Amino acid sequence: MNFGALAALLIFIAASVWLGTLAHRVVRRSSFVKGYFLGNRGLGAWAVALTATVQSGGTFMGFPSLVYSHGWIVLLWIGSYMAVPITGFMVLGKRLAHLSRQTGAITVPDLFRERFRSPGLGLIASLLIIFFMTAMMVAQFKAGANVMKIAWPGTDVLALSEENTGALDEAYYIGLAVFAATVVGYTLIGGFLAAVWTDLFQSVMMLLGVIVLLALILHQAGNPADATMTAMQNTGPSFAFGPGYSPNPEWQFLPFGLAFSFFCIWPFTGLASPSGVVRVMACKNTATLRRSIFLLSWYNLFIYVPLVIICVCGRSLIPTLPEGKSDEIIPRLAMLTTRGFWGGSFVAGLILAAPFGAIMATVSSYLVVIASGLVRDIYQRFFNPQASDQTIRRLSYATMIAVGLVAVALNIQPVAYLQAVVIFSGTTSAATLLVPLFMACYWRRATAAGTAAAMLVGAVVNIGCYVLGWSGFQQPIGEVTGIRPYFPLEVHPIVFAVGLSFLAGVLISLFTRPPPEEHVSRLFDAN
Amino acid sequence: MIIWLCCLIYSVTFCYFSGYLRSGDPGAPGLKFILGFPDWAFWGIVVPWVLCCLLSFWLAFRFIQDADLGEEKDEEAGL
Repeated sequence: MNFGALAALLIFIAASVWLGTLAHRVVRRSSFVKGYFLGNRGLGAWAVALTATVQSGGTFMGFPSLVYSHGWIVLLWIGSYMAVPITGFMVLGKRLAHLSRQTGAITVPDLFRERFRSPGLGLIASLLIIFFMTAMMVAQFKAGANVMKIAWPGTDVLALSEENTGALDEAYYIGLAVFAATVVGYTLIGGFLAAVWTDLFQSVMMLLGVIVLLALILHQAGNPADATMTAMQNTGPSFAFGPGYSPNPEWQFLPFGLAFSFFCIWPFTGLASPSGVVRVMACKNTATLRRSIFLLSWYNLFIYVPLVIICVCGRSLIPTLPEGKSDEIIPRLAMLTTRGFWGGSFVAGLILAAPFGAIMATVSSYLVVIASGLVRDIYQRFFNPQASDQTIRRLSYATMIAVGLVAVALNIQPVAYLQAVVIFSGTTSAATLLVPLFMACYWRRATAAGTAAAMLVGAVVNIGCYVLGWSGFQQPIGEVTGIRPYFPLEVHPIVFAVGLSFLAGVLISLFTRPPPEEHVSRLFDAN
Repeated sequence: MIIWLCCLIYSVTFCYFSGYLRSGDPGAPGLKFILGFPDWAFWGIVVPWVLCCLLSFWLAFRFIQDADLGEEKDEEAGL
């Protein structure tokens, strides 16, 4: 019976909830909306750096699953993360923080609405954001439930035998319920700050978890070079090279064009993620932004590279896993490497706190964005601008609970490959927001209509390619999963989506009436 | 802004080279490891990554200028 793991997770959850209640006190300091959705713009460097990232269940469940399945090449797949903090914060950071203060914007749709004086644009932004963020969030719930399932005492997960499935499924549903209740709970209590502070706490735990697991696994598997050789016995030589190992010889995981496009994806999606943008908007000052770049660069290095090592070695320790279960490689490795020594299962729980924390962090952040979208950008703007703080608060709580329930419902039959959904959501987010954010920050001549066009074209192209892929236009590249796009020219559709979005944005802006000079001047020229 | 472009191009090129190295080596013989990483991964990804971190130090503490982010507009007025 491995109660230790569960105990560790429960302590972790309790700490998060406590942080949520602390955040609640800060919220009371100013207007509800600003406090609840933006933390009164008081974020320091550690908060911005460690939480504005796309760290999520994807990082600890989806990504490792890919390394385990395909080998060393996944290091290239994730490689552009080296440039993410630099590009992300440097390119848009300062300007966004500045612009959001000038416009008083609290949410991303706010920003667009005020920048272009167009409620319609704000609405389009809201709807699109709510759509793709919900997709991402729903997938995270599954991951969270899985972690709890594996930690649950009595389910001898390492057995992998059929008769266990009954107990495992039950544990999954319990895990789902516990996870949902906790995250919705503390996010509801403390809003944006709760999400940020718990993110921060969880990020630190993640780093610790990864380092501990790395140490344990090197101890058990030995030198990564030897482990790779062992792993190759089970897979093949392509495990250590591009385009990566695939069980089906027709299928190539990462042909070069795809590698190139993924290299572009991470910096772009990092730049344009609504939860990331909101944190930049919430930072205290530019010194914060600068330090965040520095902190985040090292943090990413110490999370991703060890994870690759861990999973490559993992392949030598656990030679195969059934179809669809490779998402569980990190929790399984945690349990495996901690078996047999005293206190081992507690340590396993601590390691599991890493993926669990990542998942909780993502869900809480996204909950805040979605709730702010529904409550402020839609309700407060269009239905009841005079709504009292009291009403807004109640509505926000209700929205979060409702979204949580929807997410739980959609996870009764969970999605197979988490990482694929993460990428879908991330690329749609980038396709929708990247060009518009640039236009808002740097192009005076940009008009509301042009920006709207850019958003819509980007979203439609990316989603369209996914729909094509889903309905059967499959190519034998990339991940083996039902949620995959059609890859025009063997490159991820995001590249085309952003390109076309740019064209649309520029052309339509030039063809529509330029914005009033005094408005633009106020936002662009120094006072 | 230009810095960003440089960063992106520089990093992409790095991986181009590592890619080149790898695609010329489909078979197991010639697989060399440096610090546990396959050689292409080491030179193509790990090294540039560390370099980026060092670069970020320079950027964060030497290069980027602090700017006044400005006064906050009263949000009630915007509604």
